[in-house]
Formats: sequence, structure tokens, C-alpha cells
Amino acid sequence: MTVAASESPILIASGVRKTFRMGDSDIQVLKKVDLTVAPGEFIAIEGRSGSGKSTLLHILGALDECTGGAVMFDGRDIAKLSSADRAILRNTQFGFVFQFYHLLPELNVLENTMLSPMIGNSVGQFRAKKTEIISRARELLAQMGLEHRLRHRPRHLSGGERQRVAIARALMNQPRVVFADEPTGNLDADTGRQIMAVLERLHQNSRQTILLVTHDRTLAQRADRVLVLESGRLEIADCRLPNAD
Amino acid sequence: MPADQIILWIIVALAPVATIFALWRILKGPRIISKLMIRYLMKRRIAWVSLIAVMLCTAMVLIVISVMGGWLRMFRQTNHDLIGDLIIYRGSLDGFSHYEDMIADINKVPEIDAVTPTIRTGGLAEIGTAEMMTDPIHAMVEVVGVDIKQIGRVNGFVRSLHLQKDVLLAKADDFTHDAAQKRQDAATRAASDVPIDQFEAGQMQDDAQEDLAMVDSFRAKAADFPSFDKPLPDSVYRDQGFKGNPTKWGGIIVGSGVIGLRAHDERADNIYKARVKLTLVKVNPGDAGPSLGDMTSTNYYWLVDDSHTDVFQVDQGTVYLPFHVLQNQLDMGASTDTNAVTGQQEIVPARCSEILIRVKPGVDPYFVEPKVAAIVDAVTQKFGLDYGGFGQLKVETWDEHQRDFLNAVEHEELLLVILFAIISIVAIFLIFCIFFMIVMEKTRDIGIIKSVGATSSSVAAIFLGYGLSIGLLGGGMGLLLAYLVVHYINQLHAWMAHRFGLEIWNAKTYLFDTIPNTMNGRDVAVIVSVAILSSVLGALVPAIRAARMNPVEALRWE
Repeated sequence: MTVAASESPILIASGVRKTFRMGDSDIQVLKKVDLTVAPGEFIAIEGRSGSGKSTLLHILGALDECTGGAVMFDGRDIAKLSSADRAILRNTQFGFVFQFYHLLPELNVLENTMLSPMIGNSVGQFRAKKTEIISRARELLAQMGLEHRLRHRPRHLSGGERQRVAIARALMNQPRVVFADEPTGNLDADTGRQIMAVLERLHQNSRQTILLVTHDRTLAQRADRVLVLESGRLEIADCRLPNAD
Repeated sequence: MPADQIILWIIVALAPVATIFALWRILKGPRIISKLMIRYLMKRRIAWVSLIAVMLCTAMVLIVISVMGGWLRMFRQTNHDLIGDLIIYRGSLDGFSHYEDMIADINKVPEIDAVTPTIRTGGLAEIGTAEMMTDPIHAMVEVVGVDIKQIGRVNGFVRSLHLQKDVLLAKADDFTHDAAQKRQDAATRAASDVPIDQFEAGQMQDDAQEDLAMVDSFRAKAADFPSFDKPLPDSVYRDQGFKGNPTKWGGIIVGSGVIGLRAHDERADNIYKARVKLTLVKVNPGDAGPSLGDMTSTNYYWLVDDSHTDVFQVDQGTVYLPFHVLQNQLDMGASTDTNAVTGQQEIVPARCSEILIRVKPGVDPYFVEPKVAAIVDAVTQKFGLDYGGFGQLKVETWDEHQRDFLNAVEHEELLLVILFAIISIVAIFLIFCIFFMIVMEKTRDIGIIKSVGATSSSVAAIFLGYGLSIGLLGGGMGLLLAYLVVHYINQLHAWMAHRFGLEIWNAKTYLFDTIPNTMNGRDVAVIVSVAILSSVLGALVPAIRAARMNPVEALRWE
């Protein structure tokens, strides 16, 4: 899917740097990352293990702060937002899918899916919108093929099912951007392909903006745009690379 | 204020602030707070350990405070009840004179409600019914002379009497019913042709007549309540077979313990047929006489009632006589004497041992004490009374009078507060440790909910709310457990004594023969509140730690 040139970018990273302190020395993971994400775009960021892909995703998703540079979302500098405003951003505009699913073990599938509205709404508001919220969660879980698993706890689900619950959770508040951090990294090849198919379908049907981080070039190739994070910098992937075929 | 005290007050202030914050966030904050809080409480078994800990700590403190605090309150109340608000006394058996002048002046003080004189002395009592006269009981007793019409306005003595108005009227009703029954039976038998039955009918009529005499007697005593009146008709006393003129003997009230009774024991009517032979030693202010024999005085009385003040020692060894009767028996009443120097007749004023005073409701006895002391000084100066040295005439409030005892009791109270503080600290540390473990265990969950948009305050509120719910549940369960134990403590104690021979509560040591079994509302409110606040305080540091967690680091936690 191509991006209309007239549409203004939804997310812009300019000169993003991130340095970690390890004992007495500083390790610069991100040196100068520039990235522009247009609405509805499916971008894959590829890189070796430890290259800083997840760190970049966390910074773009307002989960972490950069050491230098700026990340603009909808024209606002994320770094300048308060901690509470960043939390609101994560709750209403962003959705996260993690490699290890990260579902809450005490909640069942339906409740895990409703996590965003449970965090974003007060007790009274939640009660007022409960029917609507439950119906949305059920619909998403049905789309993920989990309508028969609503009352199950995460420990009773397979890896693929867990990841589909995580995707449903990420989509619950209709986020502007979905950040997927190695979503297939913990799954077998077949299940991984199914999860990728879910993301692709989401992108194609709903024009969902997706930022996917993966070390698997084959999976990355399924995105609109593939970028490579190498030596702390983001570059356009060379499609002639051997395992890109 | 020293720095350590400031820190302590900050910590103490943090608990209610954190509790209010947690409550506010649970009720008004994101739905996830109450959801996860309840889910953690139900699903994490380790939380049950802290819940049980809070429950046991609360129950233990409530039981100890209710029993010991109840004992302290009973102790203070009964001591107050025994005396009144103020007391004027002299530490000598011969008492002091011109008490009537003092009472007249004290009554003029606007803050005074009632005043009464009493006499205290020691005596030897022989108590028994006619059937028991081969083996009566003998006891050394404290004899107290009271104006029974007045003392009820000053202290709680009248409330301690067994034969209250309603008890007397109930007895009268019983006898009325018996008499009616006997008359009905007599009428049936009288109609019989058999001479024996007719004879029995006559006897029944006589019995019914005696019952009606009992009715009149009990009713008369009820009408005159409180009094030293005899509860039975003169004919009963006359028929007991004692020498002398038994119908002329007056009444005496004995401490329930003197005749082996407890507060709720059933009183058989034959205890009112008991004669009390009382021998006293008269102590005069001047020459005591050549021998003890000259100073003794023996009189006979009918046991007319028993008093149960709840104070074991008092009930075990005190008898009560009408003030003027005792005054006369001790030669403490007003009399005339010939002055050895002038040879003229002089009036010797009446004496008493102490004056008990009740102040008006809402008046502080300490405020009135100097006014009473000034009156006592004025009277002693006016009449040139010399009560210096060992036998000094003193004016004290009821708590000053029992200072030695009360001081010991107050130290015990302080000990309880320290004990409570230690238990609270233990509970706080226990919850702190458990919550620290829970937060460590739940680190990844914290990362998850933060990544989905939970703010730091919401995360803190989850753990504070968790602590609060443990405090509320643990405190509530502790209260229930404590209520059951305290409410049935006397039965429990009796069962333990019966089953294991374990008697913890000794009436001789603790003054009262029953263990206090009521809970004070204020104590309950304070203890349960402290339990709840301690639980929140214990969860505070782990909650702050959870709130400050970086979501990325939390997600990577293993």
C-alpha cells in the first residue's frame, strides 16, 4: 500500500540518540536516527540482535526517553510531555505487541483485551461504557479467532493465542500507531506466519499504521518499507541482500 | 522539635494521607486499580498471610485492650463509685468532729450536688441462721456506717444492693401468687368430708396469711427503698428462736462475699433470717480506757440485704450499718461531759470518719477541691480542732485518694500502649516485606500496565489499595474474632479452668470476680483504624517503588 504524499507524517524522529551507562562507560545504542512515518504506513525495522531496534521502538512509543534528538507525534514533541501525558498517549494513540505477549496472568482473555479502557476510564466512566467496551473486545477477539477463549487465563492459551490476545489488546482503543516488537520471536515458524498475516490483514483492511521490529528479513519484507538499524543509524534496506529473496 | 520526632510524625501523617489517596483513586481513578487490587487479593496466597497477620494482631490487641482496658475502666469506675467525687477523711479510727458544720457550709457551695458523712471501723462479725447457730461463720469485717437515703446521691453504693425495688416487688408478687394458690387449695380441701383435709385447709389458710404478711413486708421495703428495713414480717424474726428481743434488732447489709455469694448467684429467702452479731471496738479521742474489754460493744442485727460492689476485697470483708446506729454503737454521737478542770458540763460534738461529696454534673472535682479545703480549714480553726501530725484531716478528689493504686494502673495502661505500638510496627514490617516480595514478583505486570497507559499514581494506588483492602479485611476479621473471644471470655475461662485446670484470672489479684467482657467503641475505632493505617503504611514504600519503575526495565524484569 502506498502513502498519499499529501498526508502529513504521524510520527517523526529526528536525530534521536540513546546512550546507556554500563559501569564506567557509556554505550551509544542510537547515534542519529531519523525516521518519518506517514499514517497508514507499515514499516519494518530490521537489525541484528542488540542493534537497538527495541530501544528505538520504545522511544518512538513513548515508553522510554531519548538522550538527544526529538520525537514528534502529531506535531507534539513527546520528550516535552509530562509522564502522565505520555501515559495518556500510550493509552489512547499507541498500541504495543511484545515478543513475550505480556498478558496479565490474573486477568482472563476478555479482561486482558479490555486493559486499555480499564486504564483509560474511571470506575464510573467504565461502568457507563461497559457494554460498548465488552462488545468491542469480543469483536476483536472474534476477529482473532478467540471467541471461544474469552474466560480463559493466559496460562491456558498457546503462544499464538496469547499473541493474538496481545494484538487484540493493542487494538482495543483504536490506536493511531501499533508498535510490534518481535511479535513472532517467541513463536514457531507456522504460528509466526499466522501472526504476521493478522498484522498484514489489519494494515490492508483498516489502514493501520504499524511499526514492526524484527531480526527476520523474510518477515520484514512483507512491510511497505524496510529499514535497517545498523551502528546506531537507520538506513533503507538493500533489497538485494541474499536472504531478502 | 527534634529531627527524629519530625521524621516520626511525617511517617505517622503519611499513613492517613496514603489511605485517603488510595481510597480516592479506587473510587474515582481508573477501573484497573480496583480490578487488579481485588484480583491480587483473591489470587495471591501470600497476601493471605499478611491478611491473617493483620487479623491476629488486631484481634490480639483488641482482646488485651478490652480485658485490661476494661479492667482499668472498671477499676476507676468502681473506685469512683465507692467514694464519690471528693472525700474529707482523717487517718484515725476516732474520726473527726464538727462534720455537721462542715457539711452545712459545703452544701452552700454552688457546684456541690450532695454530701454525706460515713463512719469506718473494724469489727468481728458472727453470721448465721437459727439452724446454723452451732456452726455460724466468723469474719473480721470493715464496718461502714452510711446514711442510706443520702449516699445514693453521692456514690454507687445503692446500686450495689441486691434487693432493688424491682426485685422486692417481684418477690412480693411471687408471695401474692403463692398465697392465692394456697387459699384456693384450702377452699377445695375445706369442702372435703375428711377431717384431716379440713385440718390441712386451716393450716393452708394460715400459710397463705403468712405469705400475705411477706407481701406487705416486701412491698413496704420497696416503698421505702433504699433502707435498712427488714424484708420479712416481725413474726418470722420472732419465730427464729433467738434469745433477746429479735423484733427490735435493726438491719445490717453485708458484702456479698462475706456470705459467700457472687453477683448473679440466686439468693434464697432464708439468708434474710440470718442474725449478725457484731462486736466493735470503740475508740475515743481522749483516754482509751483501762482495757480493751471496756471498749468493745456488741450488738445484734438482722441481715437485710447484700451489697455487690464488684470490688472483690470490699465485697469480701465489708458490712454496712445505718450511720446513726454505728455512731451510737461506737459512742461517736453528740454527748455531754464534765470538764475535768472547770467541772462544768460540756457538749462533746458528734464524730464521723469521712465526708463523701458529689459535685454537680460537668463540674471538675479539682475545681471544687480548694473551696472544700477552705471550708474544712475554716471549721477546724473556728472550733480550734487540732488534727495535725499523723491524723491530719485531708481533702482529696477520689482519684487522689486512690493515687497509689491508680498510678500503678496507669503505668499498666502505658505498658499496653507500648505493646500496641510494638505489635503495629511488627505488622507494618510484615506487610512491608510481603508487599516488597509481591512488587518484585509483579514487576513485569507493572511494566505491562504502564505500557498500556497506566500512570505512576495509578500503579501506586493499586498497591496502596491492596494494602488498604488487607487492612480492612484483616482488621474486620480481627474485630469479629476479638468480639467473639471477649464476649465469651468468662465462659472460655471457666471452660479452660474446668478442662485444663488453668485459672488465669484470679479475683483476689484483679479485684473483680468476672473478666471484663465488653469492648469500648473508642478503643475498637482506634485499633481497627491503626490496623488499616499500618497496612497502608507497610505497602507505602513498595507502592512508591512500583510507581517509580521504568516501564521498559519493568518489562525486561526476569
